[in-house]
Amino acid sequence: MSSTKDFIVEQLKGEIAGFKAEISEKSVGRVLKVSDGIALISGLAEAMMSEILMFKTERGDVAGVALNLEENQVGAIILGDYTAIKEGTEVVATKRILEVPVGEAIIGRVVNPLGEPLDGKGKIVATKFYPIEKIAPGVITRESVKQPVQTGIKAIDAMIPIGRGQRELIIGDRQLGKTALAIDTIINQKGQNMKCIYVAIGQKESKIANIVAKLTAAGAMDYTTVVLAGASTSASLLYIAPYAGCAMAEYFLDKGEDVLIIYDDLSKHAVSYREISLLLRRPPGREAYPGDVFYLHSRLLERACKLNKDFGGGSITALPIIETQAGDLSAYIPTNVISITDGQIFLEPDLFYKGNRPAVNAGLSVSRVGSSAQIKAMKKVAGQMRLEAAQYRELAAFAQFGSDLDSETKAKLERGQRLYEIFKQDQYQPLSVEKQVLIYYTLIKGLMNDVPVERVREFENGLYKYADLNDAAVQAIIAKKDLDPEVEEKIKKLVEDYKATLDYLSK
Amino acid sequence: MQISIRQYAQSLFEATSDKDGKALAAALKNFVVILNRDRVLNKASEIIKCFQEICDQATGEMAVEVTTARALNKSSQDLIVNYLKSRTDAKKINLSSIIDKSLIGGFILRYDSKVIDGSLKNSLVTLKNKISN
Repeated sequence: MSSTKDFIVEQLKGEIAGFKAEISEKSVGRVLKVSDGIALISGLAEAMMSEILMFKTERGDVAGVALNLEENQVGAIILGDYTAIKEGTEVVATKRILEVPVGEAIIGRVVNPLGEPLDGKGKIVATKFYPIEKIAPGVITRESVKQPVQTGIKAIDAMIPIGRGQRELIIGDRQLGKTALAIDTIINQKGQNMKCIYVAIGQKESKIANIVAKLTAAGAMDYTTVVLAGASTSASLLYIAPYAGCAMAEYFLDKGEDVLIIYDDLSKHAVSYREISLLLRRPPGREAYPGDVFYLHSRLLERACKLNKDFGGGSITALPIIETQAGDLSAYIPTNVISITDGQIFLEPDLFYKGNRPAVNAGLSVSRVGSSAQIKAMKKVAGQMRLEAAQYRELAAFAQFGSDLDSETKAKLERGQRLYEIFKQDQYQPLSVEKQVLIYYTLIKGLMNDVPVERVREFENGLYKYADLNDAAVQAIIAKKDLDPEVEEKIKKLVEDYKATLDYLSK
Repeated sequence: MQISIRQYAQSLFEATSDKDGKALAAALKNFVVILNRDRVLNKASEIIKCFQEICDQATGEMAVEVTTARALNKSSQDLIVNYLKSRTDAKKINLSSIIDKSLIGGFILRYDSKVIDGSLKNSLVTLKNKISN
């Protein structure tokens, strides 16, 4: 015991003896004005864009970031407690661009946008720092999207497939399950070789606590980082949160790994940027957003990419979330982000209240690049299924008039109803792609035609359990990733065997 | 087009640098008239400050504030002046000194928007941060 004490004392002694205060020339300025998380500073002649500035207050140093460089003053956002900053407070330039700690140490943690822990699990020891703003990878380094991200949600994986490196927008009104889609996707990444980063921007902290508890219970925190800028955080931290999350993702990208990043949500991000811009007296434009609000999101989402082999082959898949007001897709921020992303998943209130959850509108939702990333087996069933879904939507509107229908139309309607039953899925219950292929195959081959519509979900759940017990067919899909006659035969046999066990079908 | 404070100060400097006596007075008067015409008389004090900076730069003068724990003797002052002359391109240095006992020892130099902090207080704070980390 005493020897370790001596050792510590010796070490400290050595450190103190060897200590030599470095005296260097520093660029300083003084606060002219401070309000609402914004400071105007005179001096600081050599300040850089997005450089970290240190405010020397009585209660210790407070960090800030230079955002406006003008002739006689510098406009900065304050990342911390700005109540201690007064007019005349000295500000020192640090010659460092704003950066966050990155690395394996942040996995499984809840951090704020500066990389400081919020989960009480102790200090984060990071060896590397990445700048929060970085130019997106260039065209030479990229390649087209070709591997799938399995969201585990039947309606999405079949109709709106997402590939690794894609940017797919999740858009809809409040309370329609946008976050739920994202969380299910994270849960389903278990064993898929994917790191996940969930960036919460302006969310209620109680909601995030729930999400973290759910992720922990599902074992998803082993590969997930939560970057939290809650509703009570200042606009400046909300503004840097997605960039900080993206910097953390880029560390894994550079290592050649695949990362999934969720920005929940970008409408609140735009609002916080509007607040900062108006306080910095930048001219307002449409809906009072500043002129560069498009660039705000495009430079963020452009950092999602699929790199080619020569550059490590990693990818960042981005799932930004946008909350619309009363389904208004033509507002400023929704149109901007729709045009930036490679497709959108549109959630609709009508479907939600009818009980079709997740309330994905199959007509308005698209994925512009993802279908090349589907596995072959899924491609085969999804093609026909998409057609049936479209036909059903068309006929359902027509059939509401209740006239006599010919038998062919009736059959199509019947099958469509079963399809929409299959699209229904409970929260936190992502489904593996093999089982999705299994259920869709059962439907499109008409093996489910004799199951009553109200019993489809019961039938479906039973089928999964039966397939777990007799897993020859599922294993065949996993092995071949394709539907050849041999696999088809196995699936058919599995379904027939299962149906033989059901007493409501035996009549 | 809006004319900046620096541009006013620069033009005033250029208009007056080679004049004296009556010509200087006339130039100054004209300048005030122009300020009045442009309705920027309220910015006069900022323009004067900026003019001072431009003047100092042109003549190679530099205002330096020295904060020390004890009063400086002549040789230390000369040392500082020579050091700053070697470091910057100033030809003449106007020292103004402030005594602040809380520094304990050493000195702080302030000039332009730069600070060189060589005080004992700063070293102790740095040492404290280093040990506590």
